[in-house]
Amino acid sequence: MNQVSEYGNTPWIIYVAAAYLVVGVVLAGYTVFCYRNRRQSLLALKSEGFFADSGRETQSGAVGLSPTQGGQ
Amino acid sequence: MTLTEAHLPPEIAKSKNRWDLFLGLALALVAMGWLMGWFYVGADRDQGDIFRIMFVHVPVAWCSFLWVITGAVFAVLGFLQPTKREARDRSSHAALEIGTVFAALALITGSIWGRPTWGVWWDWDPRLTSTLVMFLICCGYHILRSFTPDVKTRRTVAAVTAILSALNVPLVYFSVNLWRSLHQPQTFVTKSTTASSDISLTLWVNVLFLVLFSLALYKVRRQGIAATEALETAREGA
Repeated sequence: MNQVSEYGNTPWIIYVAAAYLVVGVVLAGYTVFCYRNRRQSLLALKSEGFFADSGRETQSGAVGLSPTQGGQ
Repeated sequence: MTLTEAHLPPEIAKSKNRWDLFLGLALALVAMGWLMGWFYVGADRDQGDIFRIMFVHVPVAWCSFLWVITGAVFAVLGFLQPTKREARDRSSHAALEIGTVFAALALITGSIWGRPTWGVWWDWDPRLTSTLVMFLICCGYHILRSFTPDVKTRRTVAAVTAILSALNVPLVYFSVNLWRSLHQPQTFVTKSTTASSDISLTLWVNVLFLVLFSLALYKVRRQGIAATEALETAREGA
């Protein structure tokens, strides 16, 4: 565990942890962005009048939205 | 204008929350793969423990190839199937966006690995440079999309750029064989017999799990793009 690189005294765990952390944080952030973008667009669609005639939103809901979400 | 579910793209017209569940499952699998990379595999004979970065670097790099090529395939299909052009464009857009994210991650994790191994954060090596070019073309794709107001022109320009970005993928992949490179050759593909079985297993597990995760992410992102486009269309028609 005390192994260091020949190019410096920084322990290997710093580099490895940094790599995993960067990937984890970026993927988590992008996942949140995808969900928020989808949810906001669907909520806006509901407020524009989509899903108005079938009543589906009160049964199964549009993708990513619960039956209670959205403004009608 | 009367708006109903009939106007919605197929991606969001029906409830498809199963992809949310799939994404959660894939996330758990990715976490398991990472734990294998940290605790299951022993230190490498030559690189020591630094090589554990490979269990994130190689999967993200391959995912970037996969999604950039997928984006180009959908772009080609858009040209071949004019009636499905909108849907193909959405698929291509979502795939290229995910490919861009993974390409950025491949560059960053590669840089983190390069510092203790090569002594530099960056080198203008064929593999690194061609990966950077691929990433920049992907960025260009998104910039072109953003700055092209006309929908038909946007789709055409985006499709051509998507195809261009994928043409660079073989160059990235074979660059280590074509030119003298600081980057090592294709260790796990051409020399997999020399790698220990636990290293190969952990690597392939991480690749598989990250591909599954990215697939779920792609589906969710495509739904978001479809919803955004439907909203824009509705507002333009109102």
